[in-house]
Amino acid sequence: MKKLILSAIACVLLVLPITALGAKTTAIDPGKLQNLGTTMIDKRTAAIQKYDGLLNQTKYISDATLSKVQGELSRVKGELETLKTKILGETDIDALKADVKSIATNYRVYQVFLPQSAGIISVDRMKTYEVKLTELKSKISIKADELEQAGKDVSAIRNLISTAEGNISAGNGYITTSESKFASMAITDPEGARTLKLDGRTALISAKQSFSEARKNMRDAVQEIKKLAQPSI
Amino acid sequence: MDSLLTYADQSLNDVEAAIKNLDDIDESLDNEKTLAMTIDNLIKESDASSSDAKTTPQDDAAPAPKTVNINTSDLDALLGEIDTAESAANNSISDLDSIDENEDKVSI
Repeated sequence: MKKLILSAIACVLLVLPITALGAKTTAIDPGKLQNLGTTMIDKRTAAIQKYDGLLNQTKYISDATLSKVQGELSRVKGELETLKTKILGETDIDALKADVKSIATNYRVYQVFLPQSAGIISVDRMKTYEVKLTELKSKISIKADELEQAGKDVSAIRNLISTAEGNISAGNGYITTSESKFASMAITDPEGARTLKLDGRTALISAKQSFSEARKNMRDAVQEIKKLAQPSI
Repeated sequence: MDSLLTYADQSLNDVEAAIKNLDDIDESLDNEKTLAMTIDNLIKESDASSSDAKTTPQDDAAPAPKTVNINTSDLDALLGEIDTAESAANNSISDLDSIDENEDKVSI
């Protein structure tokens, strides 16, 4: 009998929390879901706005690529703002859950659009780096010509310039690859976009390494020029 | 007889004049020799001076300091700009890495 009573008490103790939990689930406050939804949307639209501004400042990205990437950012931002209005007017818990979930699953802002924009901006920074390196290479070549005309042996400088030229050319190839990868990222294939992002990043790192080598070689060339420009006795 | 003597005088005068002319010619020959010697000497001196001139550049090339007027300040300025460009490129990659795709994973 004792055993029977203890079993009954145990059953009651186990069932009570489950019932209470069920009550909690059904008592979700729509306001909390609305807050969650609007916070998620505001965070995304702010990030989109930030990257849209940075894309506007790029100098070396083609109009076609910019138009495509910024066009998608604008579309996503507009749709998220519309969704925000809908969420704020929604009181049905299931509908709210679906709407909040769609902020992530339907738009993939952090998986596709932000890395795509950041990747394109990074490509532009790399191109700026390349332009400066090319400018320095030209100036060093002119100084080498002047020194040679004055009877100096500039073979070491010429070798450094030639190596730097190869580094810059290799870096340029990596940049082209990187831009192509980032520009191809699309919401229609989120998993493919992840692979493209990783490939684009790898190409960026390779470009950076090539340009760093070019920079080092040209810094050495500048030192050689300074040595040769000093009066010889 | 007088006319014979006059003729003889005349002839003697002619002979003396002819001898004098001959002497003059010798002198002029001597002058020409001198002139020729002078020219030879001048040519020799000229050769000597020109050969001296040929050695001058070699003498110049050796110890004289040679300054090449190359301004490198523009190169230094560009190297500075390149450092800035490299830093901006590095920051852009860090920015790309900071985007957390897990933000798009929601469980409600």
